[in-house]
Amino acid sequence: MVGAQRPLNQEGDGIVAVKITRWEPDTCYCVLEYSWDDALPESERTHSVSRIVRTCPVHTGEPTAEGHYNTVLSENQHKNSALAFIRAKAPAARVDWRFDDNRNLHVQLNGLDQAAAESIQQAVAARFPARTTRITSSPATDSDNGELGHRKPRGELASLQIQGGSVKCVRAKIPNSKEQIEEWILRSAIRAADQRGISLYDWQPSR
Amino acid sequence: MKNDENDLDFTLPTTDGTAYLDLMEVVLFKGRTYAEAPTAYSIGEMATQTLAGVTKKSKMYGKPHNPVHLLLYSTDWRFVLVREVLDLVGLWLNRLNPVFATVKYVCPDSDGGAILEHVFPRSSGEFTSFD
Repeated sequence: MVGAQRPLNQEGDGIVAVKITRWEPDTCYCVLEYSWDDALPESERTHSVSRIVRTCPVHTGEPTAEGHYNTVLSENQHKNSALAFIRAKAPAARVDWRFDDNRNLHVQLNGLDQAAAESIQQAVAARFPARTTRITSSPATDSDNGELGHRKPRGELASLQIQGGSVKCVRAKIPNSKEQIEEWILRSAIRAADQRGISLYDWQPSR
Repeated sequence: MKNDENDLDFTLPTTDGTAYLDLMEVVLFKGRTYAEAPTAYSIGEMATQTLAGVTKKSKMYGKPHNPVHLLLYSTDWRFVLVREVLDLVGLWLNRLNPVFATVKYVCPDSDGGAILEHVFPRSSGEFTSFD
């Protein structure tokens, strides 16, 4: 998240500072900004969407910014809540997750037998009745080695950063599993396309 | 959105309908870890190997009903593709005309940004200086 502070309105003899936070959820490729008033105690704060910076393909149909924000927030909160609930039930399992085309959450529990997974499936359904969450499992294998998804060799990428006359080599944080790396690659490509003002989705052939 | 493991990697609902995105890592060695890989490569060999990977994937898809885009990527500095490799691959792909609607190359950096290069298709005028 990236924070910024803008004086948006005046009340009495002081300026009320409304903070703008940029949010890039891990549940889709949208980028949204929301505002909140840091003069209020945390328990009284409300977040209001201020700008949709980027709309991902999944959420292109949202007619309003508020609806868009609420949908993305709801999916993200459900993912967080469901994973916390599941991890409490199966602390030893390695958890991988994704959303399907209908925005149902799929959770893969690696290192868990089917009976335990079915029990967790029932508990999740009872705890989160308003949303469909599908639990699958796979038993532990020698190749799991404590990593999520399919392991692959870990590479090294770095860049040189020049600050105040000094140069330092900063390594990129490369994820471990094939699935995570592919997500990371796509996010990096989308971000690079955004920075250049081109669309990664609607590539236009140049010939 | 991410697809199942045995499917194309991502589905892209675009303004022109559904398209698909496949990813292919650029790697030029047979070892178990990147540390075993050589620290330099031949441009011709890297371009040849990259092209072989792209054409192999292209043949797997037959004639897709929806556009399929290919995103090449590197996750190790030993296999970062330089401009000359990308141009050679682009030239050869222009001649071979694979099923992919486009081929792009991305290499993330440590700041969350990335090098993003267009590989295919390219205008024939871009290759007039090639032998």
